[in-house]
Amino acid sequence: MKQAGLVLPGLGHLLKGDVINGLGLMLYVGLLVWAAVAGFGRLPELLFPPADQGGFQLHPWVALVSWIGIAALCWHTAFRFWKPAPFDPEVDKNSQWRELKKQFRRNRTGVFGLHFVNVLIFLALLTPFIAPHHPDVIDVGPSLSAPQWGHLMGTDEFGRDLFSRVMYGARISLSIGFIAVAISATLGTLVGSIAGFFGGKVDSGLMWVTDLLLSLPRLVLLLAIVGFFRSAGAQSIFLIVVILGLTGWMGVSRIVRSQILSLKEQDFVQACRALGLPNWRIIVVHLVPNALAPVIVHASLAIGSTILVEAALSFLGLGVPPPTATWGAIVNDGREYMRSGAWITVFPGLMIVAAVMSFNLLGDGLRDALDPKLRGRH
Amino acid sequence: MSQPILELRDLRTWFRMEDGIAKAVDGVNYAIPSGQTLSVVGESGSGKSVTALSVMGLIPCPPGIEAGGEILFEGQDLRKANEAQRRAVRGNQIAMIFQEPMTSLNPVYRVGDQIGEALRLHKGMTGKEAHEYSIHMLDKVGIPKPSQRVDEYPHQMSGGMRQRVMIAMALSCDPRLLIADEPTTALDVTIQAQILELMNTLQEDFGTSILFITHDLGVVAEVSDHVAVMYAGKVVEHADVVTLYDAPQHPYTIGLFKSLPDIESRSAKLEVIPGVVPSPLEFPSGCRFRNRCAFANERCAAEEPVLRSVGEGHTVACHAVEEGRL
Amino acid sequence: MFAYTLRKVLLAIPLVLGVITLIFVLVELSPGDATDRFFTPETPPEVRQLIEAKWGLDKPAHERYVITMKNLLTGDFGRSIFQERPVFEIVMEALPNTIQLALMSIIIMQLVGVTLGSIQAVRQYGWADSGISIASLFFYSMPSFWLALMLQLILTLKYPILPSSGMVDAVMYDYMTPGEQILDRMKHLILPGVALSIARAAGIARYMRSSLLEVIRQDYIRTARAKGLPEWKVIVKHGMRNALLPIITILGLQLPFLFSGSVLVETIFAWPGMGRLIVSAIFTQDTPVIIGCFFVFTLLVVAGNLIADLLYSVVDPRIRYS
Repeated sequence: MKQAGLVLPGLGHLLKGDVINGLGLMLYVGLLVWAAVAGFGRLPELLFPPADQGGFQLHPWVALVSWIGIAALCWHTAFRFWKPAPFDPEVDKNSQWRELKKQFRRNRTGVFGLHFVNVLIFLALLTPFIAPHHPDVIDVGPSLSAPQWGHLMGTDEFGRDLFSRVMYGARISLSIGFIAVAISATLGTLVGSIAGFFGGKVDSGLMWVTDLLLSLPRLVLLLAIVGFFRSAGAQSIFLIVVILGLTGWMGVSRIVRSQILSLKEQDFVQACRALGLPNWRIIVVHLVPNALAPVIVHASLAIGSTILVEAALSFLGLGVPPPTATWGAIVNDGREYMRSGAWITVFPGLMIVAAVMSFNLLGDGLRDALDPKLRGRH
Repeated sequence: MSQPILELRDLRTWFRMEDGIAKAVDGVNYAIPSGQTLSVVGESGSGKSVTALSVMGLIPCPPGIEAGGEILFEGQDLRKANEAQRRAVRGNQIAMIFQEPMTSLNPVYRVGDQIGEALRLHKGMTGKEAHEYSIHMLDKVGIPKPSQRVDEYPHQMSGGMRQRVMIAMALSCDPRLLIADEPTTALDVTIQAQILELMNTLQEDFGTSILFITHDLGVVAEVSDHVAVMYAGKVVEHADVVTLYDAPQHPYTIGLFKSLPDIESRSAKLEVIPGVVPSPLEFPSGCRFRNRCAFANERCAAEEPVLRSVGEGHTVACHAVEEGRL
Repeated sequence: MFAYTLRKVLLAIPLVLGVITLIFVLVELSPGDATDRFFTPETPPEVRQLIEAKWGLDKPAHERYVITMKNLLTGDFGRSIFQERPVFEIVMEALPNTIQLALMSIIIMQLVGVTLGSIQAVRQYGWADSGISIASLFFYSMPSFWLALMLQLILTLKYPILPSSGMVDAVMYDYMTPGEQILDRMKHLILPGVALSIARAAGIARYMRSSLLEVIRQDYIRTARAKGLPEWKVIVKHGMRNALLPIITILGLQLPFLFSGSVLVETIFAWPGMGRLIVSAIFTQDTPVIIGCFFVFTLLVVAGNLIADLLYSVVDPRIRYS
């Protein structure tokens, strides 16, 4: 029965009653098939574009590698479902992670969210194959035409294929989300662990700043920063990502701080000190890894909210500068054409909702996996 | 003999759980004579509280199941009444006080308003009348400066005082029956004595019958006229208080008395009843106490014992007692 | 209670000073020098002089900090580069409009959120519970600007039931009777108010659900039932009052999001509030207006939090009489 997965990953899961994972895997395979059907015919031009179309491009190669990687992942998962990995207690380093994974697997909404997120990521990676047109090329279809077979989401006023634009927009929005949250998480962990570990004035000071920034409306803060920077003529995607990262660390720092505060009192910290370990080593090697689980929950939810905030900025025309089109920017483009081309505003918005929903589901699932376990332990 | 104020006949209340059906109350029979106090004694899990909540109609169904039996209050079967009728009785003719005075009062309403709520609901009093009567009730339960206290919030009062407020609230509508579910367990011993004293006095003054639920044999001696001992969802022994303390018959009751620490006893070890209370999801066949009983035989495994009279007003459900093996 | 109030007010003061410092730091850190930030090449010389004098642009940093602080605290935000009016005036014109919108949103948000959350708690695990949860997640994940556009699309373009922009009917308002005027204002307030509040309403529903579930399990609910009260009264009178306490606490926390959202909603519905003001100020590079708007926004947040704290102490007797 389970071997069925070797032919079609996900089939084994389905036949064994695991519907969510089964359908998820089959969906991934579906994506692979779509990418292959839509893109492999054009493989030579994509991988080796002639000089007059811009020469060598990295991203089709990345897409190809991703395709192979995703396929490998699917078949590996199906294989492991059939023959599970032998359990080696020697290798089991951090049981907290193992517990988390086990608890998470039970949480259906979380697993659902994870599959959704994976679909988004895979779509973004495979876009060069899936998207039938280059997002910026005009007149690939009649302007302002409704969704139809060749243009799944219709076309905009310049005759650009909306589906391709939305797909490429996914890559940008997701990347911005991931990188910005990575920056926030790192910064927040730094601030939180210093505050939590050293306590006293350092803690009060850092937390006061954190609370101050937390109380401000994030979009307004971002607008002010963008506003000041803009007047000096600086605007770029890197700036946006960095600013997003610099305005999102506060939540993480509070979480890390409270984790460190409770961990600090435990015996193993005393043991570390008795061994003569320097402070930074205690923090980085021993305390932070134990504090990371709630950070991951927060990060997942934060990716969703970062996507929303970035979309808002782009919608206002103050985010990533054109011609790079993030979802928010496409919605903004479509504003004037609401009567004649409503799809230009509808589809990118739906994608935003889908993306944010999946990260929210994932984050909620992670949080549920974490909570009862914590309550049980402490 | 006049009709008992409350009579339970073969009462059953079950719960549908994930793992099966928990038969928390499984054939309970007892009666409370009018104007007297019946104590129901048992360990946690014996079903004594669930019985009381069933009488009040406070068991949420689902997951509860009203699985049979009759609750005769002044001769009327409450189980056959509809919800509106039960609500008319609840708080009005049968009132209940609970174990945790610290959390049983709503923190955002004044004490007087909470007492007055029942008065306005059941007695149709106006706000002003209810307020006045609340002060009167607070005075009756021995709270000093009642006209001041009536406007206070629960968090401004001690545990003992809150329990007095609960009693005042319960008795405000002059109920025929007061159910007290471990009312003193959460209180200090000295406060406990005061509350018990209060309840005795009120019973004399108002003529209220009391169903007193407890696990504490010392308290039972203080307040009861009659005692019913419950185990695993059933009544195993029922007698008036003097008889029970003088000559308990059921092995479980004997075990309970033996496990009380005795200051005069020389032995170093406390006598315990071996084993644990069975889970209501899986009672043993036949007599439910047999796994912990020194006198169990094959009949005990095959047949459930029923309450049989062994003296004036004294019933016991035990094969060994019936067969004279004790 | 008085001590509590005083303490909360005193805590707000360093917050305001902190915000001013933040503004100063942000302006200083942005690229270019002071002149680039405050002027464009087209700015006429007289305006330049005024602004230089106002903000002390020719002076060293620490002096500029003091000047900035003094300006902001006295409400003297200088003159707008673009509109050639005092910034204070411009901001004060826009402020009431934003507050109107925010108030409307709070009302909608609380009503919808509390109602839905309560239904969910009372019918836990039922269809209503799951359905509302899914819908909540959907709306919570939605960008408010997109919701606003969709509402505009459906309710003003496709089926023109409601007005699509502005606060009042541009043409007819002055000729309406007072009753019609109020109705007109309401009609204009609905869509922006809904667009602004639905996402947060979903969050409040979730919060209310868990709060009410927690409350229903408490002993005093059992006491209320034991008194013979009908179930609806037990839930509404005894349950809600307690369950709403934490909701009121977070009322203050909703404000930052409301103001963030108003930036987008005001832009879409052409609502002449501070949100739209700050956006246009950014496009016209009118730095004094940006500073003024941002400062007033944060003041509103601080004030809002203060009010929420005070409200909470009024509503919870355990704080009032402690």
